[in-house]
Amino acid sequence: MNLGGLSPDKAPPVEAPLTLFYLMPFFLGLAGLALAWQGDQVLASRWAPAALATTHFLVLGALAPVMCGALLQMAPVLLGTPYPRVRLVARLTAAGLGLGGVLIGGGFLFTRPGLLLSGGFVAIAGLLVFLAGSYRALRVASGRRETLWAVRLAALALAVTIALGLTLAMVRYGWLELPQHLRWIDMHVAWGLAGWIGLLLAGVGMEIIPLFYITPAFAVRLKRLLPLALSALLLLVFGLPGFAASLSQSLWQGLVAALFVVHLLYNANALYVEQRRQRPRRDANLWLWQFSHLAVFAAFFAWVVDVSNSLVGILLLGGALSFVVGSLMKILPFLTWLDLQQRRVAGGHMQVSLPRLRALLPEGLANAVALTLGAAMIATLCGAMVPYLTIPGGILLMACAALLAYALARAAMIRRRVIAQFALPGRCSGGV
Amino acid sequence: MSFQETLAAQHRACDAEFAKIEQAAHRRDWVAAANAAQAFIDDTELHFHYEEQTLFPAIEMATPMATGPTSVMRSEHAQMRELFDELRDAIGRHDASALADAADTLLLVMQQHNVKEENVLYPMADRTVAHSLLVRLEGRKGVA
Repeated sequence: MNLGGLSPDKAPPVEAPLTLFYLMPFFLGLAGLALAWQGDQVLASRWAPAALATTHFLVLGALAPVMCGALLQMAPVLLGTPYPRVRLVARLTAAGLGLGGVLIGGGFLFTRPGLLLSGGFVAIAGLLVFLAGSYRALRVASGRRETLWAVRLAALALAVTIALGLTLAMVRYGWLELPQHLRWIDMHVAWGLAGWIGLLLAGVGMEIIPLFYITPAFAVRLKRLLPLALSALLLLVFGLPGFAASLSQSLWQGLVAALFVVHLLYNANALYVEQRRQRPRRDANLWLWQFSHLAVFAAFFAWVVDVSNSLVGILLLGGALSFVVGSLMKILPFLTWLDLQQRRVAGGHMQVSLPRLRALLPEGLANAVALTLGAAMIATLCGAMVPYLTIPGGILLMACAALLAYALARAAMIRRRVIAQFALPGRCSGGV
Repeated sequence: MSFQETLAAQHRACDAEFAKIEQAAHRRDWVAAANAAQAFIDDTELHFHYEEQTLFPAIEMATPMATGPTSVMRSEHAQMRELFDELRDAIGRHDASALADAADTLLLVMQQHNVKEENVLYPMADRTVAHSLLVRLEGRKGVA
């Protein structure tokens, strides 16, 4: 029996996930800048340098660090085991994603192959550290079977996405030739979006949505079958380049439809249980989660009516961002509070009262983050009809990034102030 | 019935009682909120009492290396008891904002605690502790 996750000295230090969380506002800001500057190109084609740069800023710099950080923090609870050498894993993963994200985005934006490739290697190095830690943690994990499989298969999907990304970078600059090169790009996108991001968010979502809002449980069959169904469909994607181009295209459409159906089942079930939650209040987290579920439905609709691939991409990435930012609004104040509470008990500073969650992240600030993110997404989508609207879309995304940076910095400053109070004898209030 | 099934069902029952506090406060019905809080705290205390007095000592006896984890569980019970006081205090002052704050904190502490117990400790108890202890639990008043 693995008791690692419950050992008092094995709880991950709060600095580990925070190191990764701090990357998000910076990269959201960069994506907003690229959108405001070259938004028309982002919407014109998914192959446009600005579109590729924005996508990689969001995926590598904003989504991946928070997903990795949250996994490091939740592992002892959800997987029953901590990550080994969690501080080192967090720092190296953050360094790889931070530097790699900037280089890759810059490489696409300014068409510099050297930047793109070196960024690719740096980001891969960081993610490999995370995957190595995940492998050691998941090998001995003892959580719920469905969650374990979702996390394991999502980690595998990340490894495949990385390998495909590196292969594509080599093809792009003529170092390697592949038949049906565009199909390999589709595979990279499918494994990254439906596998790594989609599977992890759905697997963790089915666990935490009922806990946070006291909802009915998700359908047992969905929990069991979702990771397996997605993995099987993604494996089939590998067979596509072996068929003639026209047949391969038809099969690809069928597989995308099937991947959408699996994700729609999860999102429909999520909306259903959230609607039947026992907690009456709505908060920024719930708004963002529901926005993300609806974005997946909208993406499916956009794909069916064949408006544009860019629009489908914006909806799916925006949906993932909404879920991750929403979760961050919940996790940030709680982790900060929990860290202070553990220090308070360990140091015997029971006379110091702790700041409340709403002092660590005021409701108005969380709502402002949610509102600017939602507005940025809607303005960018409207840019498909009125192109200049991508400019306010980008500016709103930068505003969201600034608010998020302020929220993170504010919580860090309050935490530091309370820790300083622990060192002072006779102080009775850490409340803010 | 196993420890896992019985005690996890108690967690869900306590969750439902917790939600009734927020529902009453949402309607600004402070009498109902106070009653719901008392029912929630009483049942949760019964659950804690069984774990601290019966289950954890039995687990520690069967698996001495589990002493660290059970002490973490006990300290999380203490954290929750502190938050019970904040909850009662906010209801007493009819302070909806303070209640929402205390409730958010308590729910997160409670849920991560429950998941750890359900993922690790209860399956371990099912393997190592005699189910005769469970019979005594099922006979107690007020617990599922």
